[in-house]
Amino acid sequence: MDDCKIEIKLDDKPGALSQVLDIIAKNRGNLFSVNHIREKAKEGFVPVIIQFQATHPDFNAIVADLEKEGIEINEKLIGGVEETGLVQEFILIGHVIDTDIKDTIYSICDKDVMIKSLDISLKSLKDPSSVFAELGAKNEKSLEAAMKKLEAIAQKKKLLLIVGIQT
Amino acid sequence: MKTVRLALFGFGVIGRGFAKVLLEKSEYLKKKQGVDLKVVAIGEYNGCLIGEPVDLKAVLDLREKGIWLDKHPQWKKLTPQELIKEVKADIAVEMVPSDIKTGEPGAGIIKAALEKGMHVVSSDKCALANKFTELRGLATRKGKWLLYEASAGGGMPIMNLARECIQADEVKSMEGILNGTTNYILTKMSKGGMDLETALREAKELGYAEKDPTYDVEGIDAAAKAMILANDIMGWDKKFSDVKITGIMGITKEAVQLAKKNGYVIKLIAEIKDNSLSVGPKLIPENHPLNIESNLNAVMFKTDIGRDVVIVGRGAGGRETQSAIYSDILRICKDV
Repeated sequence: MDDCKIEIKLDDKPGALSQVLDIIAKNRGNLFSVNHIREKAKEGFVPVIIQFQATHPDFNAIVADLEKEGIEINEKLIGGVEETGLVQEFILIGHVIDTDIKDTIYSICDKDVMIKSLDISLKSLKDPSSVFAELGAKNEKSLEAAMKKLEAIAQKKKLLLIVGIQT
Repeated sequence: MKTVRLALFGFGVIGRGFAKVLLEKSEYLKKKQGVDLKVVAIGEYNGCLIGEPVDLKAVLDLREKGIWLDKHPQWKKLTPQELIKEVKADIAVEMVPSDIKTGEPGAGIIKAALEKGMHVVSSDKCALANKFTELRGLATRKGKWLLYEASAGGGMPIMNLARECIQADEVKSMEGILNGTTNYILTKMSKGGMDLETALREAKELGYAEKDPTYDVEGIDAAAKAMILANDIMGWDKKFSDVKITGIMGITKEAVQLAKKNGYVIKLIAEIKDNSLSVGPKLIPENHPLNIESNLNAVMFKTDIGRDVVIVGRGAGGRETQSAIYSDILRICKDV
């Protein structure tokens, strides 16, 4: 679970906040705080900052559901990182560390693509390691190009690449 | 009451399951469907039984005692092709375990039955994965039904659902879990914290995996099914070799637990989309409809009208598979 923060532009009418909180709860978000900034209300909208905990897929679902309901989100942060575009999760299995993990990461990142989070599991130095990562990209084209590079690197370094299903 | 004559080919787990369900459901089918199904022959690779009808209970009793059909007093040494020439049947029910590399002997039996003028129901994914276009073409030329719901997804009515229930929809893509053995193994690795070898051993002990589970764990079984579904539902003309396959043997307990920690599970997923076919491990969000447990199978259709349609069921099993075989037979019975 990651610390998440969103700032939304809430329609200033009864039940609007409740609808937002329902969406967070429905997607298993664990609410921390709700800051309803009434003094900054403008043109019928009130800025609201909501902090909660959620997994990355649940955070994505919350953002998608809010946007589906036409709720404007000014800022979305997960794990302290701004959620700016597309996210692709993947796992690499094999000798990920020994085959130069830094080279693997640098080979796929550029100005439009970044690794947003990295989680490593290493049983022992001689055993294969596993790396879970979230790749953030500004647009579909840059994401697709990065994933193609990653596939080629995984093949070259004999690593098993498991990517997230498109939801 | 309509009497429909059946010639069964193969009397293994699926063939015996067919006979058991017929003994159990014969009266129900007469009442509900107005169809009297009569088995007039059972063909095995080395001989056959012919009867008017064959006494299924006696044959099942014999096999329950561990006695092979060649000890039956009416056993005839005919090849399946010779039997097809000799017997008069409306539908050939082909339930033979064929070779994934050649599709034989199942493909040869299907061809001979269609040539003779029989309709065919098959549960044989290997025959269809190898000779799909040829067999479908032959059935069309002969004006006969060739149905094979049981060949992909066992008891789950995937092709019937696409054919009968979402006719107005354009299926954009399909993805799903088409192999129960690997799903059982990956579920145990995720929920039970087992390593792959232990989960595989347990799957074998419970009868969910064959003694040689290579076809399952290497993704070959799922790939054959994906190819059949793609050709049938999407109308493609793919060969088995067109499927990009990655198995599950490289997946470690640590990787499964790492996925779980981050809100995901790993599943062996068949993907049918953008004119390409693949089978391989994928990360699935824990709350995704394809996160189904144990040895269940599931398929998600993405369509232009109904959007996401998901079906979950038993992908294998001597009894469960009969749901698909009988469904195909009863469809054909409407035209016989």
